[in-house]
Amino acid sequence: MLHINCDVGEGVDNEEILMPYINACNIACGGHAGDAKTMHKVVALAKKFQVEIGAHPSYPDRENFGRTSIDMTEVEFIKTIQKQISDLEEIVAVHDAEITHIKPHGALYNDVAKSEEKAELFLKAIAKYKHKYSLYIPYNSVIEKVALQQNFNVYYEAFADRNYNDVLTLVSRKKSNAVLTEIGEIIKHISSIKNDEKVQTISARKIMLKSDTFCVHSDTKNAIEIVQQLHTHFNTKNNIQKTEFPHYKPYGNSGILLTWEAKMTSEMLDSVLDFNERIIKFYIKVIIEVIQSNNSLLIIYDKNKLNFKTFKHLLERLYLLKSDNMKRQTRFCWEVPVCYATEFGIDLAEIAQKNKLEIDEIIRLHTAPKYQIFSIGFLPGFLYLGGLDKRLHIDRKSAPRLAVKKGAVGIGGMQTGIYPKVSPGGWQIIGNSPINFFDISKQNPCFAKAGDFIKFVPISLAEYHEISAAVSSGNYELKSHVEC
Amino acid sequence: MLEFLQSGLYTSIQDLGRFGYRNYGVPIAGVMDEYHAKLANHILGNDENDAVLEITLQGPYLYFYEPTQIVLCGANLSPKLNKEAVKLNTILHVRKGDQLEFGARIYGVRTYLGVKKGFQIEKVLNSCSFYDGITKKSRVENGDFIKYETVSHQISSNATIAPSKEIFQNHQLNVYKGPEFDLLSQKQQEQLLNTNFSIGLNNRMAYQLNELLENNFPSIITSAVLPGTIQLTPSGKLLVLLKDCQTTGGYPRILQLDEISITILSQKHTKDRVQFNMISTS
Repeated sequence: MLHINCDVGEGVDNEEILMPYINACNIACGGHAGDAKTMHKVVALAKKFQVEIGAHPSYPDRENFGRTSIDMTEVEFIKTIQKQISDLEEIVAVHDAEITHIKPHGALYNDVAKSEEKAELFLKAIAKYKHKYSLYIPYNSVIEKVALQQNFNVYYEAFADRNYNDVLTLVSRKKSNAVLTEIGEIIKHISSIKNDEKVQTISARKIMLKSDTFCVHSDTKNAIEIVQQLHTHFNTKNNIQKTEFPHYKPYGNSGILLTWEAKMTSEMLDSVLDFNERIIKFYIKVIIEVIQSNNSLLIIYDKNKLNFKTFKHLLERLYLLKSDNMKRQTRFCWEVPVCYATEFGIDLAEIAQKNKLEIDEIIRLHTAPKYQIFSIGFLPGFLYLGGLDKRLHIDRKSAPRLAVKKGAVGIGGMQTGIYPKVSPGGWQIIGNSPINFFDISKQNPCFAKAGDFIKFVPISLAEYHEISAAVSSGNYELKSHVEC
Repeated sequence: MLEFLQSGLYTSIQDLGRFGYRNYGVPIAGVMDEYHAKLANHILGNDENDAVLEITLQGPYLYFYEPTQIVLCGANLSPKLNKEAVKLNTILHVRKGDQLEFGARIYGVRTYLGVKKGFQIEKVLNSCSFYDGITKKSRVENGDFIKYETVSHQISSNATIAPSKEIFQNHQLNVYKGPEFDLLSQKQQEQLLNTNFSIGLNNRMAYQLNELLENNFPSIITSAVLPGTIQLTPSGKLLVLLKDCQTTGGYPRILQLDEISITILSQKHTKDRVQFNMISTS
């Protein structure tokens, strides 16, 4: 197992795609970057993806992003460090989460690594957290010795994507070989530290270096590819076996199509809808729109932020991450009134003849089941329903009608459905429903959603006209009950 | 306000489309040729999603009730302002009482008329785009009125932009493999990529191609489709779905056009020819 940490909440705004792959995060808490809003957001994400939360205090210097040493009085210094940590503690408490560690940022990290005075002062500032939180520091640094003497719980940290000097300081960012970006190099670099406790420095010497956790810079352009590759290569963070479904395919240059098994079962639908709900709740910003249809999800994403391969990897990862507190949306059963009178059921006689059924039997068979909505498509508000009795399966009409009435209830092949508006259509028409299936004036233009159920309730012609009048005057409320 | 003394063959109001309602079965709609619609808005200094008029083959006859600035981009349908020929791709100053009409088609199929600050149309589900059943109308009719903001101080450059003509001359459509492409046999794939297809019936929902492709595989479970998706129908006919297409379909999706190719195809007319050029997704 490899332990990966990232500095986050610093304004790069890519946390939601990194979190599924990392073990710990260090959250900017107002010193060099970050405010209450970003801290809330990142803490919530960390909790969702079970990532350890660290405080990432810095010299109070937003202008230089905490990358410059600042002269401060001892009192001022201690005050700002403690304020930054306690601000994060307050926010973490709101989310019912916990801080696990502290990691100094930027110039402060470098100063405490080489100056005994600065190290002592920093440890004095965080002394009260000694028994609560561990401390991320570099191996063989000045602060290491002081912290160990004072019984701090020390975690050695190495940098996954930075080259080292012989004295175990990082190669300056001003030099061209400071940062490792090629995945193979990074894996080699980490493996050497992890397996042999040695780092190959830029002068090609092997120097002893211990590390409990590896930092990947989240602002590196290919940070997401790096954490994905490390995840695959080192089996970090419960790398679970791949599942047979869904299958992933590119669809255009900004779409990915996920397809589950080609069986119209309610178990299949649950897999599709559960994943749909999960990705919406994860609120992955690179996702523009998700279109669910029966056994598939088409996800439109921002191609400027991720390519297909990286996005596919992220989705696979999200699919396998089981979330404990994921509660499924409530599913309703809607009682849809249908009038099967002959003036509406214009094809009842044809079905009766072809399928050798009495008309009353057709109505009984059609109103008996509870149909599940597998998706909405074809026309605005058209529901794809599963569960039609086999005895009612019948071919579409050989010549489609140019205009099927709004509300017409029909059977086409193995499916039944309702035309939400006047439309050409080839289904056999058996009745009509007086209700609206699509209303642009409503926030949710269609009352039902995929996963819900429909039960057809037979009504007389008189009831049809009554409901129809109530619908037009806006006084009709469709009956429904919570199904599950 | 603008009055349609004559509506033209098929004129509608469009913006870039209606997004976020596909899960309810609502099509995207929106301008067919995004390139020229955006260009018209850019020349006017508008937001690129502002509502424009999409004019098809035979233009309308328009009467302007207030001064404004307009720009025409896309197909050349011989526009005339008060009987005088006017240029495409440049700001035209319109006064109260001016009349705009169109004549012979020189090239292209769809012209976009943008107006300063966009046409003032009520949005339905976050979009102005006409679509039957969502908006009151699917096309404008004789005698209709559309509002725009009066612009009296007509200070602007007279520069004309000269956009590339390539969109009208190009017959190559870039395609990605569709989700069901791999179901095609080697022979079908070759036929698909080597045929010079001619355009049959076409409208805002789809363009049919006349040449048939051998088809021996069954339909799929209904799944999402996109503008630019090419379906193979049971009769072997290829159907290129466009902006008004339904949100889902049951025919195999064998190819997918890239964005610029949707624009190119939208300017093609019945009997024009096109060929597919396979590209790969990033």
